[in-house]
Amino acid sequence: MSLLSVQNLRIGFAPDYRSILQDIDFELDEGEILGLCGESGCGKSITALALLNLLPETATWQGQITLAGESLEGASESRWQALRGREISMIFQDAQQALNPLQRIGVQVGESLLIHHPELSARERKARVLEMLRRVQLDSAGEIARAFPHELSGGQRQRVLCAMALINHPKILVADEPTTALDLSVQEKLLDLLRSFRDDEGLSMLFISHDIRVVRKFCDRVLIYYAGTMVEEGPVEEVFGEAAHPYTRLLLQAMPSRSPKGQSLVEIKGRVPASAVIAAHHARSNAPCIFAARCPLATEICHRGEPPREQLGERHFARCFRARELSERAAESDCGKTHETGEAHE
Amino acid sequence: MSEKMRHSRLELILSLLLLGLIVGLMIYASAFCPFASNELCSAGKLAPPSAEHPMGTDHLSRSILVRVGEGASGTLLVAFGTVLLGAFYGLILGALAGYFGGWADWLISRFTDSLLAFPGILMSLLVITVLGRGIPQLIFALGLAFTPSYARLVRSAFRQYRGRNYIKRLEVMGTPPLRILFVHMLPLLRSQSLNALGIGLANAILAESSMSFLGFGIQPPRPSWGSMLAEAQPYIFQAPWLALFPGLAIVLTVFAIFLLARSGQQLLEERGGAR
Repeated sequence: MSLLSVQNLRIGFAPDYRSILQDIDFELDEGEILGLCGESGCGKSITALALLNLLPETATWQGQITLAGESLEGASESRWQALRGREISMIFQDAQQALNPLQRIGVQVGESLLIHHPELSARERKARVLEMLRRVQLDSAGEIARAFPHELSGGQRQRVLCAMALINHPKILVADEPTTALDLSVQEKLLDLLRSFRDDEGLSMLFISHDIRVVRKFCDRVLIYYAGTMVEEGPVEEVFGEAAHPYTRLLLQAMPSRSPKGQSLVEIKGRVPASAVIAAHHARSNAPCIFAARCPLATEICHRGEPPREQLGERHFARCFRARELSERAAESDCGKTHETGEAHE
Repeated sequence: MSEKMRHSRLELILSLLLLGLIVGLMIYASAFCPFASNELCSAGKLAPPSAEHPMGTDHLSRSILVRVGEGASGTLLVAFGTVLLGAFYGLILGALAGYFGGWADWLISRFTDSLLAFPGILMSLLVITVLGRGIPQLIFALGLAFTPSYARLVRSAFRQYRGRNYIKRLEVMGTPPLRILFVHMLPLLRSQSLNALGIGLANAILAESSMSFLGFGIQPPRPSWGSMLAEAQPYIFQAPWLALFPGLAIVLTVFAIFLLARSGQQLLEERGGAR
């Protein structure tokens, strides 16, 4: 059985709580790294917050979230508090702002221990904090523990955040764009660090990013989000190699390195619909494909009814009328690389 | 040292000098002065300032200097009590409203709004009428009137803190809300609170004086600046020193506390920024 299973998750916002996100189904196995990709405004971060029951006041979620066999639907707030930081943890994009500027690093890292293991003495806590700081490869852990956040570099701060999130050895880490604010070499080191936690402790990760290159390198499986639904999911090689959904293919083509030299970058025309439009769309029965309006490959059928969830591989699904056809074509043409570009311009 | 910081330091020194003057007067009046505050002096009624009575005497031939000095203790006691009480209630209400939002915020905000709907003095008068006169009652009445403004201040500050990422991170780590509230968010109020407490103290001195002026504050025979002003009213043209000195004491104290709060905050911020 999988460690975390999310079924039929839907999230709605005040005032009418119509669902902005719906039909979110995925599973996370032990030691697996699951990527979450999509443009801004597709609902990636909101999904992450729902997993911790930390949605803003104005939002609610429905559906089944099962963590290690325990159903969390309707769990009490105190149960959630016990889970957060202990079973499921999170790191953020902006490490600078995720640290209290007025507190020493050691105190902040120890906070989570203090909450979940109040039985530890101050000395034991300090020892564990130092051990954890060393574990995230911060040399001279003692100095770092005494430092204030502004005295550290961006990479160091992100490591401190990792130490904080992982000090109680949670089973799941939700990483919301942890590498976006870092430069490339530091990015690489952080990913190595996270990977080492996976290898040593079997840590599972939900890795949110819009950097497809990082997701491709780092993740085992990937979910592609568009406008509050999952349009494609599957193992990374299959999804990025034989992209079956036109949205996935366009995301791939929009990467600078994949466009042929001298040609302007492919862009996805238009923008993600506003949340009110998404909600209205989701509310319709047999709603047509929401991506059809921007899809260069859309045909008449796409505007008529709800696209089917096509199974393309053992764990590879896409929600598109033309998924099968596109995926086959991609496989034939050597992993759907640049020569598909022309089609996008149609 | 920057120009601004030098300026702040000057303000700090000035305010401390003024407060020292008031406190010195207070100590002198209660410990060293040859006259008691209710003792009738041989200089006679309404005597102008002289070497023996530097502020003159009042309509009952009591030394005004001594009365101003002794009035300070009552006024300051009530002012500090009022601010502490108001800030305490305001902190609790504002913290709960600002952090939890939702119906708690609605309930608390409507409560403070309804308190604010009364003119402050009017509500204090009502409370005094119900509870009777006396210093504890006066502190409670004024403290209640000061609660809404502190509650609003704390509420808006805590709402803002709540949006900060490191507070969100604490939630993600499973920190219980009351711990976030009082262990992690409360210290953030530090720089704002100095100013708010200072201005509150200045206002409380004015409020106490107004209440005493109206006869609802500190009761005779204990002197207070407000009641001295009230008593001085009929003699304002005949013997202006009766009103001048207690009035001056109020103005200078309020001014000194205001300066102290402002310069103190600026120096704190400057130090925080330089670190």
